[in-house]
Amino acid sequence: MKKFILETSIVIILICVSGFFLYQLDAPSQLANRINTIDSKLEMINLGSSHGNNFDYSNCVLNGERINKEGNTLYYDLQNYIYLNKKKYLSKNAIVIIPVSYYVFGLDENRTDRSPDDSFVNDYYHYLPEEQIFSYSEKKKSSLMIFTIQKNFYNLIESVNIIKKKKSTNLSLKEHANSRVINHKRLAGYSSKQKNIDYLESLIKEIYKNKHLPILVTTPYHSSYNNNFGKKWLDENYFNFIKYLKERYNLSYFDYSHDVRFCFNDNYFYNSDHLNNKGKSVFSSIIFDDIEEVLLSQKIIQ
Amino acid sequence: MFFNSLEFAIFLPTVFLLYWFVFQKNIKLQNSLIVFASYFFYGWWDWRFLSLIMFSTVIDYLVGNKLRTEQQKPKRKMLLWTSIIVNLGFLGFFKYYNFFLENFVDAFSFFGMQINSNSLNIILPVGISFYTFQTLSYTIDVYNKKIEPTKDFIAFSAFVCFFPQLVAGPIERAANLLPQFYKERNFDYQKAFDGMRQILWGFFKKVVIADNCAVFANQIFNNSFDMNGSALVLGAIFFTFQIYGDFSGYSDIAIGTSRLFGFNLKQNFATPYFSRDIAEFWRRWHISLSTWFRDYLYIPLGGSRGGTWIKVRNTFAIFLVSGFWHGANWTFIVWGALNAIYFLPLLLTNNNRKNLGVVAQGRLLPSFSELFAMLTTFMLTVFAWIFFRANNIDHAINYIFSMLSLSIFEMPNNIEIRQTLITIIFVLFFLLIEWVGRNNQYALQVIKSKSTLMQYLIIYVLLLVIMLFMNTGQQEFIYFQF
Repeated sequence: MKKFILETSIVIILICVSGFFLYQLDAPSQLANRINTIDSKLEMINLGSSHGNNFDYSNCVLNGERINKEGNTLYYDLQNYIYLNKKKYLSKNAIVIIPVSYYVFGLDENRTDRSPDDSFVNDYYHYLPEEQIFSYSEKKKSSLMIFTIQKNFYNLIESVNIIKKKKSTNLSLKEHANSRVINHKRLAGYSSKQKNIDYLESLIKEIYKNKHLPILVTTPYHSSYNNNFGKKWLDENYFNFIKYLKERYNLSYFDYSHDVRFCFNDNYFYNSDHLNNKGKSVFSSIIFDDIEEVLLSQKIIQ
Repeated sequence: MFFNSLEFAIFLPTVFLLYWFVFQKNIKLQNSLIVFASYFFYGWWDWRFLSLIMFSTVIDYLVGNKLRTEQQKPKRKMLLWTSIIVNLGFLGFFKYYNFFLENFVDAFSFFGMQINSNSLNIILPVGISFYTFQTLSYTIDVYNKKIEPTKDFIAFSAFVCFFPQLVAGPIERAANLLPQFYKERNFDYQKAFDGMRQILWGFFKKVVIADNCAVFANQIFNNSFDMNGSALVLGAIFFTFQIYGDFSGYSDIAIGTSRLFGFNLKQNFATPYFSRDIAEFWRRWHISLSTWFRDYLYIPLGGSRGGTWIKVRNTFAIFLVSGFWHGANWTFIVWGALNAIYFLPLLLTNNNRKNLGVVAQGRLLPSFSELFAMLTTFMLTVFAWIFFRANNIDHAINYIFSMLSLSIFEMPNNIEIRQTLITIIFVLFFLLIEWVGRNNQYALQVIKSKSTLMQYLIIYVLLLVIMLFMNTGQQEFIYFQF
């Protein structure tokens, strides 16, 4: 009996040590990390998905921070804003940029379309209170450690997988756009549009209520990406909703999606719907100038 | 309480230590602990339904003891029917009430008659089909004088509610399990070690194979209208491994856990996907249920004796009832009927007992004809599982039509290729281990001939694989719903 218990315990201890080793490799999620290290009041933030990465605050006169997350949903844009405001991380009159993607009105809260990888919501378990997490589950929370171990293991494997990395950057903009648009069109019809419009409206109202300034933005896309959607699809699934929100809330809206300064210039794009570092820098200086004009016109700044 | 839950990880060592360190000197105390632990295990899900198990236990215990003294045939028959009506009555009400009601309403409205009916919001008690069949087998065996009725109420209660197999089998016979509660149990290192190994293998099947396949199977079945033919084929294959990994994984954990407490349960699965025909498949799949139906339904109906019509009738009876046992849905009945259709040609040509041994016995690889037979049987099984998994008959038919379209020759659409490939690699690895260990009670038992150090190394690696590749979505066991 003692032998059995001893041997079983040794195996369990060994597996726990292995798990602990992998767990220690954990790099905190970028968004959770950024939020946890905010040390001064933010004058400008941007929410949104990976398109929010297009904002570069390094040369901005305001203290800005990206509060976006890859694949993010409007539900969590709302929750992130509420959280930052509750924590008093935002300055008076802070500018809240809401980048919206073509497919964002079709996403569901926790990105269940990403099955089997249901880890999208994991980041939020790291800092959001449970009442703000959609379909909060204790079981999910308790499994986060395993998730982290698995994620670190995958990262470890991928770090030695050179062939795969090379392949992913070899796609031409056109090829990328072709596959990307199919997926984005699917996402646009995945969940209830009305529900997402409601979330966006709640976000806008919340921002106004706190005397902050919401600005809606569509970031630049490459022409190959835009062309694959077609005008009719974009109007029906995207621009009509934006138009409605803009008029109803008297919103400032900047649409760079078809901006000729970007959409034909391959040098600015990392892939068909994301800018590279050069593109980000150019885009950021343009949008910050445009925002400044809004602030001047509304006499928020002199 | 699920086997794949944190609660069970605390529950099992606690009961194990109490069982061997505190109550080890007294069988009655050990049996009482098993009853208490089993009720706790079941009550963790919903304590209200414990009353059903307790009621069935008392009824069958009393009926059994009455049958001991009663010699008059009509009275013995009445006692037997009391047990059958009580047990099947509970099962019928909780599992089939709404099904029959809805079908009656549909049937009447088909003839233009409208009936007002209110279906009830009935919760299906977990495992009711399993423990009902287990207790029923006791009463029927006592009635047929195959076993002696027990006087030990605690032992009988433990037999009915034994927690490792309470909610999803294997469905034990009193002749096998009940006497084990009378005997003194001493801790046996080899038996416990073997039990742990089987538990581990069961977990691997459940959380790595079944749960990862489940993600794709669910995605594909739930969005079957958006999927092309090849994706639908993949969906059906993933479900085939999901249900096998899920259910046989549960059985392995149940049998392994029982061994930790000194009990031997029946083998419930014997590498069924290596079967060379459907008859062999049914001798290897959910063995405890198949043999139950064989002994208590098929043989009493006349079995395979008699004319062609009797054979056909009995075959359909056993498969349709088996389908209906799984759930109150026409999909299960069609699944049963389909298996009967597969089985009948073998029975009518006396080929149903052709493949009794393990495939490629003593050889590393199967012959070409064996491989062909295995693949054919596997494909027939995959096809039948579509009905088992579909939400309704329409869904199944649409699924099959879309699957058998020209798009079956395209690359699968709307699925994540990388994750799919990883899952396929695991399934192939799993099949390889199953093939190597096909002569054993469970595949991983094949390592028993290795040195202790090597065995522990393999166990460590398997645990690591479980940790790194388990699906943390913690899916329920499919057979809980039956």
